[in-house]
Parts: sequence; structure tokens; C-alpha cells
Amino acid sequence: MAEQRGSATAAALLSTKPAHADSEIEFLTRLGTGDLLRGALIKLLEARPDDQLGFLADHFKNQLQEKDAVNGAPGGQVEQRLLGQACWHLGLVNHSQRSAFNNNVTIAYHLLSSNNAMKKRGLKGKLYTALLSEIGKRGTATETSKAFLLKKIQCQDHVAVPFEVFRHGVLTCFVFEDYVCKSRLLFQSILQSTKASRGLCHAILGTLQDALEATDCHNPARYLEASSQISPCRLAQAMDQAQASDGLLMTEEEFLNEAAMMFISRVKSVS
Amino acid sequence: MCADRFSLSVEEYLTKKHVLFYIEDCVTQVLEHKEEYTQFGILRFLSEYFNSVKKGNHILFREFSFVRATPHNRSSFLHMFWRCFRQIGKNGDLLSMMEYASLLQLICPDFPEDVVQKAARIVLMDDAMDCPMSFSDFLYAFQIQFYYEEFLESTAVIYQDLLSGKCPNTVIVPTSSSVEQCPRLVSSDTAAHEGVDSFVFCNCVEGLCERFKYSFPPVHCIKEILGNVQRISFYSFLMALAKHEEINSNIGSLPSKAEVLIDPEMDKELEKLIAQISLSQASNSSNSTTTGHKEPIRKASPKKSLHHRRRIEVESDGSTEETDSSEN
Repeated sequence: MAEQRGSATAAALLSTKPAHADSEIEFLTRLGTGDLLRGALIKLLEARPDDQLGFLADHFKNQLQEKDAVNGAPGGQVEQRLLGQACWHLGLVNHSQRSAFNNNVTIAYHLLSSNNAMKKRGLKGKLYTALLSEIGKRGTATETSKAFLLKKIQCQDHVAVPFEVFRHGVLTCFVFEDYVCKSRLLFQSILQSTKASRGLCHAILGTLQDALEATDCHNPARYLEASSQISPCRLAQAMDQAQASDGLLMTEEEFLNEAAMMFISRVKSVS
Repeated sequence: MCADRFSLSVEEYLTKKHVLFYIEDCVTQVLEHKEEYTQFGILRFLSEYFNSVKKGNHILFREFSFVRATPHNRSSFLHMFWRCFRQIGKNGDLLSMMEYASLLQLICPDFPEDVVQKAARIVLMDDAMDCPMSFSDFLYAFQIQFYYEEFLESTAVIYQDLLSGKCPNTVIVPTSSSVEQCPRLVSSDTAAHEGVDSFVFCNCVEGLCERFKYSFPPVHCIKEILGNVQRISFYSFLMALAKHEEINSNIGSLPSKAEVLIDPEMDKELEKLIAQISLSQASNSSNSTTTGHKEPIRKASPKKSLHHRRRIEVESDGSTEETDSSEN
């Protein structure tokens, strides 16, 4: 099958037929094929998705759209398309692969700031805020919590957004989404049909709060402390003590909102 | 699998889904159709190429060596075959081996008959080879034969060795000649009716899977099939593989046997197309009777709708249509 051909392909890419090699290489270089394919492979290896061929298809489609957008189309649509592309770049790699993620943040920042109807470079607060709510829309957090988060990290419409602020905002959105997913898992583990006991919920939220309070960017040891705070045995202990509940119940939305508010209260406000 | 791919080396990761194979192929395509791509832009071509690979219609009208080159191509081809000719199953027609070969050649012009013949042997248990077969019987046997070609060849060698009393623990190299003669030997051999001890056969096949570099069915399915009986003949084994639901869903290109005739999406398109054709016909020739035309339209529609779909996909880019025909 293709395995045998696979490894030699990259080298053979430009030298398949020696007779016309020169003109073919020339032809491919003129089209920019090598650069496009190299760029795609780098992206692929950075993100390492499971569906490689699907990824390449989306990648080229996206590039084509980017090119079309640059070549100009009606104003509002361009903005919407750029937002979609920026989101696509940002979603390629999970934020835990930090260096690859940072690359994508840079690409998204340049993409958004190069588009400016007035031909002035720089990213306006309006577009930045639109991007954040677009990322939010794709997430699964509750509407209320999304609105609160956005309030904290959005910028005013006409302010120029520096890169650091952009990175902070975007990263916060993605970390928040992960946090919400984890909180939902916690809630679902104590679920009784559609609701869960209020007592248990509060016990879990309390532990979560303790863990969040233990974190401190400047002292890595505190991360260990925080993770021990939320370890299964600590959680089990807290839930055991809360067992004597009063029969009151809590919905998933309530739980997620409370968990989200604990997170949001710790987010650095931008403005 | 998910965490795994980060620990693979770059080469291993890229060979897993044959990415470099497709990149090589798309560069070859560019070189073969130079003029068109200078006109429409290389980026548009790359985008269309990889999107068709993603959707699985990249194998349409390509040469056989390309169609069988990767597991993804094979499963795309199987899916395409099913989509194009599902109507035959719906009508309940029984077709002969040669007729199935002609159908396959409509999608892949140089599709070799011997693959079809091998699939027919599975359906007919290597007996009465001119017997007509139902679409679904042929489809699932063909899937096993086409998708697991190398695996089947190697197991045939093992089976043959067991029959002749040899110990098949030697390294198995799949060769086309070994399989060519294999079924004939089986049928002529008197022991063929009894088959081989399935436990021993199972152990040998399991050993094969451990070092096999081509695709093979999930080992637990093979164990399940061979664990149910004491002795098994080669063709009963292949038949069981063809009928196994889990193996089918593992390949992922065909629906389960119960749903083989159902494809609501395609049906809707067909209806739309039939409506369009009858509309245009009514306007073109008002005196032609509708009843006379009904049957031929129905038969032609699956293939037509495929062209139609491709045309929609490529939209403004007129070049791809020409590409299709030149690839023929």
C-alpha cells in the first residue's frame, strides 16, 4: 500500500519525473505549491488531529476563504468570515499545548488586525469583543455566566487592543470552557434524574472554591496544593459530611452558574 | 488512540493515514492538468482535492491502483459502489458475476475481474460460479474481499498449509499467485469439506495479525467466528467474516445489513432529479408519453445524480468536469 511510498514522498515531491524535472519544478514553484503544502503539513503536525485528511480539507478551504476575504467582499460579511477563521485557528490546538496555541493566537491576532476598512492596522475593541462572544457561542457554558465573563474581559468598541490583552482574553475564554466542562462532569456524577441534592452540590462547590483559592501564579507549589484540594478523597470526604441533606435539589444550570461565578471572580478585569 | 498520536514520531503519524500519499497524488494531478490550475489558482485546487478526499468521492473514475492504494480509498470506493447501485438491491434483481464486474467498471474503468471473481466465490462458497447473486450478498462479500485483500491472501496460505498438514508458522508473504491456485486446490481436495481444526486455525490467524502490516478485521471478531465451530472450511470462514456486523461497522463504509437499501438523503435527491428531468422532458417534447419514459429514467438516475452533485460542488470552477473526463 502507500506505506512504502510514504516516507520517500517528501523528497520525491519535486523530482518525480527527471526528464521534465526542471520545468515541473519551475511550474510548481511558480504556483507556490511547495509553500502551501509545507505550511499545511506544519499545521497538521502542530495540531496532530485524529482525522488528518479532514483537517487538511478544512485547512485549505479556510485558506481559500482567507484569500477571498482579503481580495475584498462586502464589508459585514468579511468581518463575519474573519471571525470564523480566527476561531478556527484558535480552536486547532488545545490551550494546554501552550506554544502551539500561542502561535495560533498570534495568527488570529494578525488576521483580525490586518482587516481594517480604514486601512489602519490594529485591532479594534469591537472586533475583539465580537471574537470573544463568538468563542463563547461555541462553548457550552450557561448564557448568564458567559455574559459575566465577557463583561470582565471585553474592551470598549473604539479602543485599540494590544496583543497581551488579546491573548489574556482569548486564553481565559478557552480555560473557562474547560473549567465548565469539568464542573459539569462533577455535577453529572451526583445526578439524580435531572437534578442533584443541594447539600452535595454545596459540598462540591465548597471544595472547588478551596482549590481555586489555593492557586497562586507565582508559587508553583500552590498548584499541587490546589490539586490535592480537589482530589477524589477530599471530595468524597466533603460529600460524606454533607450527606445529611434536607431534600432540596439543584439544577445543572444553577450549579454551573455558581461554579462559573467562582471562576469569573478570579479573572483579571481588562478595563 | 487520541493520546497516542502525540507520542508517535512525525513519520509514523503521517503514514498512519497516508497523508504523504495524498500530497504526492495531488501534486501529480496538478502536473497533469497544468493549464487549468494556473487559471483557477492552486489554492482552489488543493481545497477541492482535499475536500473530495474527505468526502470520499475522490476515487470516482480513478485508476484501480489508486482506488486500492489506501484503506480510506478502499472504504470510499465501497461506499460509492453502494450509493450508486443500491437501486439494484431495491429492485431485487439478481446479477451474475460479470454484471457486477461491469457495474464496478462504471466507477473504476480498469477494475480487474479477478477481484470480483474472488468475491463471487465467497458468496457462492466456491461452487456454481455462474449463479446470479443478490446485491446485498455480493456487496458484503465484495467488501471483505476488497478491503481485506492482503489479509485474505495470507489466511488462505495458512489454511492451505494446515490442510496439507504443514505447520504454518513460517513467515507468510502474500503473493497473488498463491491465492490464484488456492481455491482450486481446496475444491479438488476431499478434505476440503471437513475443513481444518478451527482452534489451530484461529491460533495461526491470531499470530498473523500480530505482525500484519495491512488492515485486518478485529481479532476478537475472528476469535468469535472460529470459537463457535470445531472445524471450518475456508469459504465458511470468509462468509462468516462477510456477515459479521461488527466487522462491517469497523470498516465503516456500508450501513448494517438491515439498512442496506435505505438512504433517505440519496432518495430525496433522486426524487428531485426525477422531477427535474420529467419537467424538462415535458417542456421539450410535449407529445411523448410519460409512462413510456418512466422506467429508463429511474435506472439512469443514480449515476446522473452523482455527476450532478459534483457539478454543484465545483460550482464556478469549470475545470474539474473536464478533469473527470480526461481521467477516464
